[in-house]
Amino acid sequence: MSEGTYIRRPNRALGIYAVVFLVVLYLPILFIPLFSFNQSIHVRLPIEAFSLQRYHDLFRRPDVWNALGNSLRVGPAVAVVSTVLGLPTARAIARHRVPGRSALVTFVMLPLVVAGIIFAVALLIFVNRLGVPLSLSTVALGHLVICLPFAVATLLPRFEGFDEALVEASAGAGRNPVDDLLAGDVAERAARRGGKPPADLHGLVRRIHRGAVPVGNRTHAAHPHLDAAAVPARGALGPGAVHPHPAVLGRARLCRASDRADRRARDARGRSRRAMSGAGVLISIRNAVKAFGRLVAVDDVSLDIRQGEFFSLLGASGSGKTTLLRMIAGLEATTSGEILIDGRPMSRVPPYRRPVGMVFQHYAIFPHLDVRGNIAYGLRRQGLSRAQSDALVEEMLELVKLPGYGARRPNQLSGGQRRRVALARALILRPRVLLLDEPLGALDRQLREQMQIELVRFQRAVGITFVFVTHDQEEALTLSDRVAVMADGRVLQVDTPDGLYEAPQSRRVAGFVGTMNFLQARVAARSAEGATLEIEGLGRRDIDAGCLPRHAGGALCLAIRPERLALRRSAPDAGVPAVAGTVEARVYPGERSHYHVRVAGRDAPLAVSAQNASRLQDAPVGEGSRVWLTWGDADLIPLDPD
Amino acid sequence: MAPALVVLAIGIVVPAAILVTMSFWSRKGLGFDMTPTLANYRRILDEPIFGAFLARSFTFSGIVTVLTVLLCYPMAYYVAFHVNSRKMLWIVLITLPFWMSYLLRVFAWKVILGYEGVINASLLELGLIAEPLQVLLYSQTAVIVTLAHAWAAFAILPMNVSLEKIDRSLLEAATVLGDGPATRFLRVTLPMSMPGVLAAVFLIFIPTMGDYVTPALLGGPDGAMIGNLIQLRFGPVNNWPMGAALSVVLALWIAAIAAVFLVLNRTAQSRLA
Repeated sequence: MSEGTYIRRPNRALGIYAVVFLVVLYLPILFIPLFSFNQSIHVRLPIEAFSLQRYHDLFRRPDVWNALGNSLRVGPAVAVVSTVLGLPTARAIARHRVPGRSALVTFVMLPLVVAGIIFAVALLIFVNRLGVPLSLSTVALGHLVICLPFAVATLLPRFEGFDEALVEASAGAGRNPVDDLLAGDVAERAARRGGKPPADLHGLVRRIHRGAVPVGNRTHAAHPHLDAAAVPARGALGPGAVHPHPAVLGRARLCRASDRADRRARDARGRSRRAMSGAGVLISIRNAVKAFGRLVAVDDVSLDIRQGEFFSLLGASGSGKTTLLRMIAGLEATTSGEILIDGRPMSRVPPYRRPVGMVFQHYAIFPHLDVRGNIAYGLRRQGLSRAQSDALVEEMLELVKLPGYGARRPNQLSGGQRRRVALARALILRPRVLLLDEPLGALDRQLREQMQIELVRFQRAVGITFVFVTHDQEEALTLSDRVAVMADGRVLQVDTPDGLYEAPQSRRVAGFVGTMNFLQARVAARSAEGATLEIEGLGRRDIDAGCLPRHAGGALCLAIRPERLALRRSAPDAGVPAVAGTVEARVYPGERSHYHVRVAGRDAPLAVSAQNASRLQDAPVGEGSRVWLTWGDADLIPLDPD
Repeated sequence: MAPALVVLAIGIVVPAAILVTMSFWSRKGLGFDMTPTLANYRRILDEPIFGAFLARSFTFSGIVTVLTVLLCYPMAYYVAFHVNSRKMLWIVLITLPFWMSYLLRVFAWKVILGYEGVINASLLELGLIAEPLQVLLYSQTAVIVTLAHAWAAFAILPMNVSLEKIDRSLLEAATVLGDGPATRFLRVTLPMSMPGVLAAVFLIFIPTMGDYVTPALLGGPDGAMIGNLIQLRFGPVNNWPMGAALSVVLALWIAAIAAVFLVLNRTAQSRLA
């Protein structure tokens, strides 16, 4: 495969055709100026002698100048009048969606539909009956009648485009994709009740948003397949799938050495939980590079994705995560390197022969097919009978909780339903791996959390490897068995969610996943057990060798999570590591409080996060309060230099 | 919008009403006999020449339409899918010839197809023929070729628009679902570009049906179309009521075809909404 996106690969035959087409288009016209220099009055090739005689004649003939003047008067006049008349007409037709609208449009477009000669003849008779002599004005009137529909036809789509996007937005409706989605679901709910959907869906949605309509039933109604009782609490999904809140983990001693042991234990748990014993590698990416011209989107990535795993590619936009996903699908050719699926090199396998399924960011549901046609799309090649394929489709519709939706058209589906159709369409082919490109990107927070739970449950049910692209670190940690953090086309770290959170290897990973305090430190003295560090803001500490990076030089960077710093109102006992500071700012989002604490010896304040105690216990720590921060030295994470 | 409607009423409704009225008159000397009569329509039905010309126009337009759409589809496809950075340049290149006068473009083909024109001269020069070919100019082929060339932009633009509108991720979805390039084209690209194809058919078929300039200049005796017949009634033959009746028949005939297209188009649009 050549370089470039699969769909847009250059097509030489088509390119040659296009050039030949243009030549044929222009050639006849180019002969006109050529023959204008012909001395003979015969159209004969080859031209025997050239002369400027014709042009010379033209300039001396007053009738030529007269005709030219007429053209120059009629043309602009008709153009101006058509535009002036057509503009308000187009605007009026676009704005007023009255019942007679289509009849009106047909009337205005009539001259386009009826052959020119009929018009010419009709106008000729008209003018003749009026007794008006034929003149330049009658010519202009004829042109105006023919041109006006063109003006309206070109302007109409502009005004119609306007209407939808700008006018409603400027009216302050505050519409967003979620509104559309909810509106669809409200309609669906109404339809199930046997009633008609409320006429003003957007109005209803807006009222819901403002709280005018009780919302207690809303989330439930929006996802009828998600029984409230069946939705497990986040913690119940296990540590691998849903990252427990850091506070739940307690203050386990975590530094690099002990963390490795922890991780081994977690991996073992994960394997037994998922019956992934001997967890085979399904996708092996080896030194994959993707360059678009001089831009390197994926830069020497090597990764192994295991059989049955929920694997996420996490990164900011432009980090190369989507490109990598598309390389696995074959939609982007690899510039160099190799991708193996089931041990088979994929570079010569076209995307339509790879054992992958894909859910696109906006689902890519075929609008010209109904739900059944969409889901059965890929079955065509398998040579199934109509009955067999219908049975399979029904089975998939059950699985994605859309029974009875087979005959629906895509435009009758809500966003959530479209996503499920996209899942069914990919999974009916039993792919070895399902690639998902930010499928939850457009949803709001609440809806997305529900979809996340749904997705994890679904993946368990079908047991297919999922590779999931997201820019949302919380989403990646919540869903995945393992996460690869990407930046600038490179993989920074591949780890389990808690591994990434508790033991980030580099400053970029640490900064990308959650909030982090970065502290510059200097080695003041070394000993057999470790080293004495001078830490910015925290003072002088003795640190175990096990917690230090192997290649720590004179200076290094440490990190500590805000929740690992404890806030106290009074000075702690001697011997407990502590530093005094002043609360500069406090944010209270609910469950926890976030503080900015200014300490001596450091420019930026330290971020501190504390669980909010009982509201009756004591008054909150206000801004300006004098406080002490304490920590465990094991909570200091040494980072690789970037 | 009122002024536009007034202009259209004066320009369309009134003349059309007079046209229809006149079609029921008859010629009397140099003037008209205004007693309503169906004689003109009866003649159209009785004399085979009118039916034959109508059928010929239909065939010509049909061939021109199919030919133009088939030849222009790859071009529209190429611009939509394979031109990335200079799309506007290509669109301008395609539409530029149509900024020139229609008459000029028809004359251009006279130069190409003429007895001593470009094609014959080239073939003679190459020694492929001994005598200039006479079939090129003043023939049905000349009319069809010229019309196809003249209406190319009207075919490319609507088809290009509907091809541009196809979400590229749909093609990728079809690919990942197992369709090779040919199948993918037949199952996704072609059905989704149908509104554009129908618009192109509509935009070419109707004007070519009533065209009289090209047949008059390039058609010769075999290439004349219904438009020329009407034109004759208002010129040398000087039977305006008969010409009006012919115009009415042509208009009804076109309206019937247009209605079929509109229904087809509406179906295609609603399927893609």
